[in-house]
Amino acid sequence: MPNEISQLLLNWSDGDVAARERLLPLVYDELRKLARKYLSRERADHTLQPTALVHEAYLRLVDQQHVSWQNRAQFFGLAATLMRNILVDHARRHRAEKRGGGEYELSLSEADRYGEQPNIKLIALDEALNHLARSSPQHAQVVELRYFGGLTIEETANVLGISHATVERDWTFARAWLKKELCQ
Amino acid sequence: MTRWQKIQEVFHESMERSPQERAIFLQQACADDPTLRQEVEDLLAAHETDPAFLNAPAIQQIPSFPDEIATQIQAPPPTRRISHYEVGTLLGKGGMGEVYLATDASLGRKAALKILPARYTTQPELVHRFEREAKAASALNHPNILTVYEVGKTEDSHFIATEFIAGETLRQRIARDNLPLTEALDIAIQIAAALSAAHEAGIIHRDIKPENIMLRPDGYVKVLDFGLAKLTEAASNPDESTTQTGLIMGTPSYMSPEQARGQKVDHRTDIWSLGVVLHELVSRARPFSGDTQADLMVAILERQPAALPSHLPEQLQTIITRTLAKEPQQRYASIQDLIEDLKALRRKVEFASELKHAAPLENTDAQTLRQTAEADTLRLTPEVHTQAELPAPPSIAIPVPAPAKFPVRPVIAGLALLSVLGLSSWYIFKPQTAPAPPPAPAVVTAAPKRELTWWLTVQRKSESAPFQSAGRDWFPNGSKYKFNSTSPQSGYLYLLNEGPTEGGKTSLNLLFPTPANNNLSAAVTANQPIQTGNYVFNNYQGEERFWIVWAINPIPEIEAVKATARPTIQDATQSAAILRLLNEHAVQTTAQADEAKELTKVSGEAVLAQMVKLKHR
Repeated sequence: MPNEISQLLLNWSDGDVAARERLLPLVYDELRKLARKYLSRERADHTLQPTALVHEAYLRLVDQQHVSWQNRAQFFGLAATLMRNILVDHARRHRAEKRGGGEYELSLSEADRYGEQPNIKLIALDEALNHLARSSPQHAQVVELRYFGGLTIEETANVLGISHATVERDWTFARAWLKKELCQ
Repeated sequence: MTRWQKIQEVFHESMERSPQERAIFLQQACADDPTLRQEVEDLLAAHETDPAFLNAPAIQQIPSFPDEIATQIQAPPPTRRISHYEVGTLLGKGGMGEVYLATDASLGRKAALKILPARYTTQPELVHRFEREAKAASALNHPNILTVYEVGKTEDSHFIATEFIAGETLRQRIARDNLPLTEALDIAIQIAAALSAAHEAGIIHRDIKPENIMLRPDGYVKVLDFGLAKLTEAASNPDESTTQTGLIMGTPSYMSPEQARGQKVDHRTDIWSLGVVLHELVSRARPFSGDTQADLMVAILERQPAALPSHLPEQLQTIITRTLAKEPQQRYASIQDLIEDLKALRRKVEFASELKHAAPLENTDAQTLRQTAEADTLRLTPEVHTQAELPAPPSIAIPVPAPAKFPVRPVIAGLALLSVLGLSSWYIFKPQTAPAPPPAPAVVTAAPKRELTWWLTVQRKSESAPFQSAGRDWFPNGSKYKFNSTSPQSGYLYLLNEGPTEGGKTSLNLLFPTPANNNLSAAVTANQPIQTGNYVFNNYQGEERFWIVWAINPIPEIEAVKATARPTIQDATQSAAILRLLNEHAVQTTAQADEAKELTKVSGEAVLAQMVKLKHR
């Protein structure tokens, strides 16, 4: 599996768009598993840090010997987007449950079910982030990587190929913009 | 520069300035653009109100589980270790010490750990004898005798580790509600079978009472504590005899006269005690009573047992009277003789109840019919010898063969006719006039049949009208359904599903009871209508196996996980054990879908378990 994923990453950076499509479900599954593990009660050992989810997925899925730092950046970018999907989806489902009076989806496990009272504002934030992306895709990407992917300023800079300082500026501005948007 | 870039620039430049400088800077920068100024001021204000906004990653803001679930989970007791056992929850407490659920850390298996009070174990040779006897009984490997794993010692106490029985004691069962006569007889027969095996090996129980008998949800009866009574009798302790006589410990209700006198006892003391238990089983009252222990002793030694209620068969009174003869030599000579009488009675009772159920439509005098049947039914239902040795309870070992109904119905019809004609119906039962016996008649199972009717309320799309389904339809992904059920019986309802989840895996989920469904309690009263919350089919490919479980008793394996199932049962070993159990019971469960009414009627043994494959795509 690590080899397969590493190869897909390499193909993708060579411009193979189909490779990205094939990569998506594999990374998605892994991240969901990690997210659920993190959210489950059984994380008594606290070894899994929330910021480390995409790193953890990377370590599990990618054979590091065969990929470059560009591949790593690509992976993190992809993983952050997927984390956003997973978490917003989770919040949406929880909201649906609240409305529907205890709906359960069969065969999904814990994190998806007893809604865990996720911050329902996540859904609003997701919408605001879409707004932001229309004005400035880069700002939205910074938020996705930092907030949903849990990446550091440095890693975010690597993924986006921009300077450390730019990431800091964008991050500050985007947060202020989103806060304002959400307060309106 | 776009407007967006302009806003950013002014914002960042403001940020670099102190609050005092900011106002001046903004005034200059936005001199001709009040909208821009407003916008940047709003952004700055947003930043000021919550500078840490979004700094913590999103996933951290999702609490791991809701309070309502958290409160359902009791804090685990601090782990205590005795020998190689991890001691868990307290299962029970009695004169003989405390019993804990424990895990054998070396073997990973569950055990019941009884910790004996120190006063019983002061004499090493007695402990030794007890250990020998307990192990000898256990070594008989009889299905109705509880298996003893070991008798051990820690610094300050002795313990007995036995097989863990998930179920209730006969005491709890008697207290719960009336036992049908066939069930009571079945329990007595199983206790007797355990005693018979022990007696043959020269082991006397000496303390048969409802507290020492466990009922498993699947109908098996287990007799506990062989050998223990000797230990306690020898260490008889005046503390426990309360204020009365200074006699022996505990309640003497089940004690034989010879035991009460402190005389030497043999296997017939167990026959007496079983007689007392049987009396209590069928009438919920004990044959001997007294306001004080002294009065009770007098009753046991001198008085005749209380008569059984008149609705019970006379033959039962005869059996009980014989077990409760004051002189051991007047009782049954062996427990095997008692077993034979109990079985003969059970067959009659079953046949009579079969007649009673078949008769109402025939406009006959059911009472007459029943008496007639009781008078001489054995000719019509030839002896079935498969049960003679009773290796396992009949409710498990013997399936219900359909042909059993055959001989009954034609005879009923004939009876009805004869009855109308005013003829004595007795003759119809004579072998020469009876219809030819069926090829394989058999005794109807002793345990009461479990019955449940269920249906689904399905909504294909959120805007479409819900419809009722017996579960045979195709459901598009995203369909919602609710489970509904009803039963004339009370019991314990569990709903589970075994279905595909991500990564091609299967998970086992507990859907009922949950905190939202019946407040996490499986207990359902007779005729209580059940409707669950909505379930939604997910998008994973595969088969949803929906399990419906309707049991007489709580199912400990499921009870053990219900608080932590969310709703997926986390522990793979526990899931596997539950599935194994369900599959075992499914074999004895029959389901009939009524397509017209869109209902499914299910019947089964002590634990009814039906698996429905729900198809969705």
